[in-house]
Amino acid sequence: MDETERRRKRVEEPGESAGRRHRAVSTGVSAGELKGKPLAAGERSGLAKPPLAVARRSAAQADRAVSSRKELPLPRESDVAAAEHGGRSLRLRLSVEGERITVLDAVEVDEPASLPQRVRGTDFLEVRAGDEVLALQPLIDPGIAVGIPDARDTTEFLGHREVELEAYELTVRVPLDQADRRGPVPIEIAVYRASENVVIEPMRIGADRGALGDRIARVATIGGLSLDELRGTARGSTQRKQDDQKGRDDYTA
Amino acid sequence: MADSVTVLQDVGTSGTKTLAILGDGFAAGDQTAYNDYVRDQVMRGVFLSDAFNEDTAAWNIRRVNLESANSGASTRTWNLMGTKKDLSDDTFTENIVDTALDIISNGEWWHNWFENGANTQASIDAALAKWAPGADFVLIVVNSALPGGLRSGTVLKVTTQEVAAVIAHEFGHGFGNLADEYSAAGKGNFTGSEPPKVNVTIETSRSKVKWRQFIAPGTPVPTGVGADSGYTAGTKPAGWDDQADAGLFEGAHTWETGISRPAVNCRMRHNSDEFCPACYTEMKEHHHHATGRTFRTMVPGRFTGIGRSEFFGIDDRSVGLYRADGTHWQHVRSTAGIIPGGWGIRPGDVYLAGDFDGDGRDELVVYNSTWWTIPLLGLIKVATDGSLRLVRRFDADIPGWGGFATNDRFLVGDFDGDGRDDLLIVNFTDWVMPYVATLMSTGTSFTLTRRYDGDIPGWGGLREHDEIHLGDFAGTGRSDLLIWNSRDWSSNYLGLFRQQRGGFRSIRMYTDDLPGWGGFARNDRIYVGDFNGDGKDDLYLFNGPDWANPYLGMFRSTGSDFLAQQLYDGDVPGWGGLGQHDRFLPADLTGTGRIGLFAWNMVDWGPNYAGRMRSSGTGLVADWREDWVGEWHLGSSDDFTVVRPAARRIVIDPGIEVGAGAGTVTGDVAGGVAGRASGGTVGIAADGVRGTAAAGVAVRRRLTTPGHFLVKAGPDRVIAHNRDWLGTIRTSVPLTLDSIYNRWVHDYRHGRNW
Repeated sequence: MDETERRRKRVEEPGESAGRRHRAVSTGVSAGELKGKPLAAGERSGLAKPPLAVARRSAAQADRAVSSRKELPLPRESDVAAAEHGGRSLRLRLSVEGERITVLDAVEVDEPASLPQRVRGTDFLEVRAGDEVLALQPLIDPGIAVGIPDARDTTEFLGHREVELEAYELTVRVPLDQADRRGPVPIEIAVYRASENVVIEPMRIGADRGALGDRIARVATIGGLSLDELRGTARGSTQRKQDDQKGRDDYTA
Repeated sequence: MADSVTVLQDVGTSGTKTLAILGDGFAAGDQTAYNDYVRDQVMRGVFLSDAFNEDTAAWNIRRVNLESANSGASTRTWNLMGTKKDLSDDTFTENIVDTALDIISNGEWWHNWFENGANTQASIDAALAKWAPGADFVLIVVNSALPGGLRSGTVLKVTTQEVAAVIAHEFGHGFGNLADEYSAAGKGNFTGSEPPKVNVTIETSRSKVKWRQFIAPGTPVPTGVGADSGYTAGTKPAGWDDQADAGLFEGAHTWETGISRPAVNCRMRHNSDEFCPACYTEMKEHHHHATGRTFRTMVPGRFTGIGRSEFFGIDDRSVGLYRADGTHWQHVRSTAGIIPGGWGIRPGDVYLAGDFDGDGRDELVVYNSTWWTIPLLGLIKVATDGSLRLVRRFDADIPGWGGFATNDRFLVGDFDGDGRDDLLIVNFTDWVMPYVATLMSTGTSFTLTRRYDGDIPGWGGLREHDEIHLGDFAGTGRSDLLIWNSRDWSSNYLGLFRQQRGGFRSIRMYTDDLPGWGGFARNDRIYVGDFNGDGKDDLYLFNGPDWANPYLGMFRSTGSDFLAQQLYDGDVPGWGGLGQHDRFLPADLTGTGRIGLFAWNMVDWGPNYAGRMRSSGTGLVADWREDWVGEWHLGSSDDFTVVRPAARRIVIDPGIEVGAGAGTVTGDVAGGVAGRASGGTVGIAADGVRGTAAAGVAVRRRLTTPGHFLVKAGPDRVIAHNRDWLGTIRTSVPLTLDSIYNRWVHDYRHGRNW
């Protein structure tokens, strides 16, 4: 309806007192008067609740008093909830030694992996398939073992003890559904180091990295990995000692 | 006892992190000690403290119980041969035993506190793959009488001799990539280049310091010079806080000079302190997204004390309690994943606040009909420290209701006037007919006392689009129902219902009009509020689109009827024109006890508007702000919530009945005591307020304890909020902004996080 066609209420001037001056206006009725006709014939479907007495008896088990000693168990999650947990990932355990990354093992796990909105820090691990980033995670003090200060030493406070490691391990999860969608594209894994604390958004990592210029550098890498081979490894014996993995050239760039 | 995993905190897998806690050297009989250590030192000691608690929702926490054959880890004792720094001549003796992870505890700083056995790395990997494959950080607790802690990347080992403060400091490194801020003895002068970590710098000019936004203009830079300095730039300013105030203090990153830190004290300098502003912010930046925290849903109340003005921020996996501190807010406590007693915090939870036990403090009721295979209803008590505990849960049904369903909705009101809030449960869509029932509170549970199948006597049939409002229209301390329907019948109806003799009875029914309104229309909207401060809730009616002009009406309650007080045709003086999409929130804007309207419109005009319509008792006077309220940029995603001010408990001679008309309590006379005001005596308030100091507006006329009721002093607080922003708007004057927060609530001493 055009706004100009709307009726105005028959009341007094704005802001002034309104009264019961319109005869057409209802003054209210006392309780119990029935309503007029429903707009739509009430063709409702569905169940009726059981009678009150039955409903009281049948729900006796619903009332769960909470004990201070024991937690009430939670019911099973609905399908809607279960869908949120969906997704499997390939958990890769890596060894980094100098510029070389070695895949120690791969395990398919019932844990989803998703790209964070943004990561911040100075060191990063990236997994990509072609131009698509599958995983990006910050690394904290990679390659350094840090012992806590000695609280007993009251004569000489030495603080943390830092020891640089010749090789160190990392783990990363690659989302399998995303990797599968990419098809047989070789996977590349790289460790980056920035000269300052930086923020990277994985969805625009190319632009971010370009903007950082020489403030961020690739320090270790492995390429040419086949997702199928990694998954094959995952389906086989997945737990191996680190030493057994050294020299596995098929996983080494 | 077999190896096992216990999920201590489940916050889902969508963008969250996982902390796996493993134990080594704990035999079957030691598992309780291990569990206790994790509970006391990690869950309580770390995740209940400051920034860790604020962002606890970022973390899934899994405790892995690994049973060792031996009680106690292997040990190795080193002989440093008097040459501490020369490790090549060191010798050792050892006691190697069979443990789950084969970790060797040596208690020696010079040997990194721990050494791995032949199978240690493989055992850790196997345990993680089996029990916590999504682990982002691993804490290994080693059962040893020796001290020690060692972090390699995201794996931290500590012995049971180390306490929460040590773990928290190490988590500062491991979670937040923070540098140490202390100086080690004899370390000397730092001569390297600028370190990348955010909390240390070699810069000495203010404009180049990484955390310069947190340094007040009046704070000298450098602020402390010399080895491991404190505040050396003169006398500390009044009110200076060594941990919360930022400056530039020499001595950091374990070096004594040549490099600086942000504050005198910080958790990265002394384990027991909280984080300094730079470290706090970095921790928050690292975790914010994973917490899933937004400012979209707020549940206000007085939860930890009558004298407190608070709200819960509700998120999919956590709830956080915030308390008013003057014109600002402070975080009190966050609970993530599970509420003790047995409530999983999940998407779909709907929270309501009410004083269900009548003690003056609010509890929470929560309902979830979508996440689990059965709907759940829970009653949650809030302790004075902000911790939560489920005290009752109803699974799938409450006796008499006949089964919870997806579209069950709840309203809070005290229907029987016993001083305890009750629930009204309604379902208009899931069954063959609409159902309504009263769930009366016993203080610790609810009992269904009356169910209405398809109708409430006098209403003539419940329908799908019935809209129920609650209000104390008689001023008796009881909640009445006001039911509105403009869509299901050939006429429009408004009915007033009151509980009498255990059931709701129709008091008044209006067909197609309320005298003075000029006719009900489909898009009439109803707002309940005591606009004249007489203790009886009144009505505001608004209609934006159905008439040539928008209309706003004020209807005064007589207790059993509504009388037209004022009708505004197209405008309220000072508002500049009512708009079709004007929205309102009833609130005591000025602290007079008269409920006015907080109003906003983000649709009808080029600019966005927010304003206030103050009630004089008989009319409204408006004023407004365009686009900005202080720093708050009004936008279509904004929502507004009224948070009640602090209250006081007033004690009246229990022999005197607090009756209709209760309104303002002034001095030592309770003006709300009908006809017997002069006989009323104000006793000692429970919170220590006595006599004439106990002045304010009665907001709750009855508590379960006879003679006790609540008065409030000051106006309501209106908070503006959307996903990332939260602002506090002062309404006692033309709208001004008292405080503003982005992504998290924290009052920096200077500067802020955006």
